[in-house]
Amino acid sequence: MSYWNYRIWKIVIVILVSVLVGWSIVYDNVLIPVPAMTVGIVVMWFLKKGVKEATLDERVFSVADKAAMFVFRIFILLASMAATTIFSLDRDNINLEQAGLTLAFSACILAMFYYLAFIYYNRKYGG
Amino acid sequence: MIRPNRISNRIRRLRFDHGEMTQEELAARAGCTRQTIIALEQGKYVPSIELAFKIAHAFGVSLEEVFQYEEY
Repeated sequence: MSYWNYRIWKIVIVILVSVLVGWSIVYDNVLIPVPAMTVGIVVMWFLKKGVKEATLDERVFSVADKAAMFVFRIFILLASMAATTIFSLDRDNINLEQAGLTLAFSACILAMFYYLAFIYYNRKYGG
Repeated sequence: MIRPNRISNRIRRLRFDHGEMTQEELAARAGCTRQTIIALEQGKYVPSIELAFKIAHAFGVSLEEVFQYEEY
């Protein structure tokens, strides 16, 4: 299978799974979403195995690493700034306080997981 | 003062010299994507040592014939 055909099938599968999940949400069906997404992932995995050309290489991973690091830094910075701003606005507003707490804890948890992952990969690669 | 260094390549020239090999063929031989070959030829990406060796092996030449190290 060519990479172009794989991309077309990927779009079709994503649309099908999205339709099923959307239908499940509308009709309050809890049994459909997880199996539908699981089957979609498995089907795409088999399709990708049949692709003759290389779809991932070191350059793609390098770009993904740079993009992830950029998003991580921006998110930590913006979430921290937003959380402190929200906390200083109106302490009596429960919704604002919850939003601020969510942002603050998200930034902290993300930073903590990044730190743990950094320690792991640093040791793995001779640090 | 440390001067910036630069790694250039002759991939495009070597492709034409080897029976007008397409980017797709070279990507298949080197085990990378065609987009990576395009990025290499445009000088936008510096490959790892492993990929550099694979590309040189695909052409059947030494590493120095494919990649050159230049100092400004």
